[in-house]
Amino acid sequence: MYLYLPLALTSVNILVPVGLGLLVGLLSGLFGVGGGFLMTPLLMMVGIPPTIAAATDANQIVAASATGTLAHWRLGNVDFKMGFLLLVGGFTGGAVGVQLIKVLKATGGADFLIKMTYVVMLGLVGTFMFFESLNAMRKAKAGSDKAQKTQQQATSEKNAGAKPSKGFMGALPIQIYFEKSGVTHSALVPVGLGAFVGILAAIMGVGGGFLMVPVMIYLLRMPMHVVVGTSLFQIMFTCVEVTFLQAYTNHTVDFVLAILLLLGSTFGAQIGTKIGKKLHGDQLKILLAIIVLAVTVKIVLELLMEPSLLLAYKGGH
Amino acid sequence: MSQTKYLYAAVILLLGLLFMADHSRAAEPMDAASSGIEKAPVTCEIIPDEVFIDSFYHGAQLKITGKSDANDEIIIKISSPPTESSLKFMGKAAGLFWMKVGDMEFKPVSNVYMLYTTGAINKIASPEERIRSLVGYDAIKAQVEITSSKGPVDKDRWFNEFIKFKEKDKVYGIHEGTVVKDGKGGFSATVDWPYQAPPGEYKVDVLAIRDGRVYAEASQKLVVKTSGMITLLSDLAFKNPALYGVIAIVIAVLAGLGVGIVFKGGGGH
Repeated sequence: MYLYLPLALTSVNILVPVGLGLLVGLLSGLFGVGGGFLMTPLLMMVGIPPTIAAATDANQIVAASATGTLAHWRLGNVDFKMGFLLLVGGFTGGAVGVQLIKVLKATGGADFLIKMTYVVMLGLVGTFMFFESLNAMRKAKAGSDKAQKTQQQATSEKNAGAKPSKGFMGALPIQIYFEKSGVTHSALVPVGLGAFVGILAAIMGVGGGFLMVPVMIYLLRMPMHVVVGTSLFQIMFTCVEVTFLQAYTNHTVDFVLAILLLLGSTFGAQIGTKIGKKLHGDQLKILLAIIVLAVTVKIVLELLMEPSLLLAYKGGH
Repeated sequence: MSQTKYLYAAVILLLGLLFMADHSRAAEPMDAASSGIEKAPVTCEIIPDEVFIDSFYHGAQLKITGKSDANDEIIIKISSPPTESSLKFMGKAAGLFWMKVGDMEFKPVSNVYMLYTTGAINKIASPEERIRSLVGYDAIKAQVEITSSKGPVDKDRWFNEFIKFKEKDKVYGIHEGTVVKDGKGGFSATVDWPYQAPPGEYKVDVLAIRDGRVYAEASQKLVVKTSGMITLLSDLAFKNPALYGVIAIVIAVLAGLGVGIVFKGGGGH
């Protein structure tokens, strides 16, 4: 059965957006990412105009991240204090990023910057996560002694996290202990990192979950199970802001498409959360790394190979 | 006296009618006279001549029928009003990466252009006639002007890219041999109207061709418009965008939380 999309001005088979929503929602629940970096290109592949794809994707991420946040909150996996500070930074960075894109669009350099940011950031994050997780999994296989050692290491790391960070981050003012994550940081650290991710997210036109998750794991040293819930909490608010702005200023949120996507994504997110509980943290990380690297390779190939069509409608990144 | 009044009134009425008849006749054949094309010998009917875009719209099937001389060749042209089409074009940035590198304008071109014919257009219509009646891609190319934000362009290359782009979107197409004649002057064609064609008013021209020349033509209007929920949502999005944005967010949050509650019941977190 086909449905006509009133703002995209195109007709789609209902199963296509529902299926895409289910797939991306599954990833959302599993890894704590919004899935924007996957969904927007997938929607464009099925014929949705780029501007509609990006804005409507933000709307459906609101639903997927709301259900994911609720599921993780019930499991006690959301650090609201950390999430709020990341959000403050994210909103500020997002606003700066939008202005940056406006300037670059006027000078004609936006497209190049966006594509290059995608390749560099996805490539770096994916490669780092992949090898880091691989090493962790190899170590975990080294027998029960090692497992015990890892347990002790984790406990000592948790205890160390309760203390303020050393070096530059430890010297910053407004040190706060985040009970849920068991870490101590200056409030400026999550705000600053949130702003950095916000700028990149605005440039790339995504929620920023795939950047925020590594930042939480490697820079904020938060435990994986809290990272996923907190990331979804932060993404939900970011996408609420983006949905409203896109609907108000650009009229690019296609409500019918969003409903079809969220039909799939809300269920997908719940299923993803349940599967995630059964997987080890390193397995989750390596799976996410493989997906991120696959998207990077696809973008690189698109950049290097001559496209079949050399003309495109205006709008979108 | 009253009789004279009636006479004057009758004369004025008659003169008025004569003037109107003369005026309308003078206005109509002007085009035909200037182009040398007759209007009467070919007819055209579209069923339906209004297409409504509702929630389950996936394009429409149109039947175009008419009558002409049994020996005529027929070309049916469906097009939107000519306008300027502004697109992004791809090129290599830094000599390595393919990406959108600038804007390209094509004018005048129709956003929708479809031909249905009784045979190959280069056999049934002379080159001059094709140019004059805007039949075929060569005729469009002859009149189109292509400009780019990056300077002069290779017209042949970029016009071919334009046609490729539009054909991929199914809004351009030449369907030779698809008009069926019944041998008694009647003809018909079935048109699969693409859902990609936006709402608007389209012109359907039926050209009757004899000895390579268009000697008669008939035109009809095809209207494509939104209806029901599609119109409602589209109007809300453009006329009350703040409310539209808030509704989109509230429904997304409620849907997300609703599914979360359903899963709690069934899954037992």
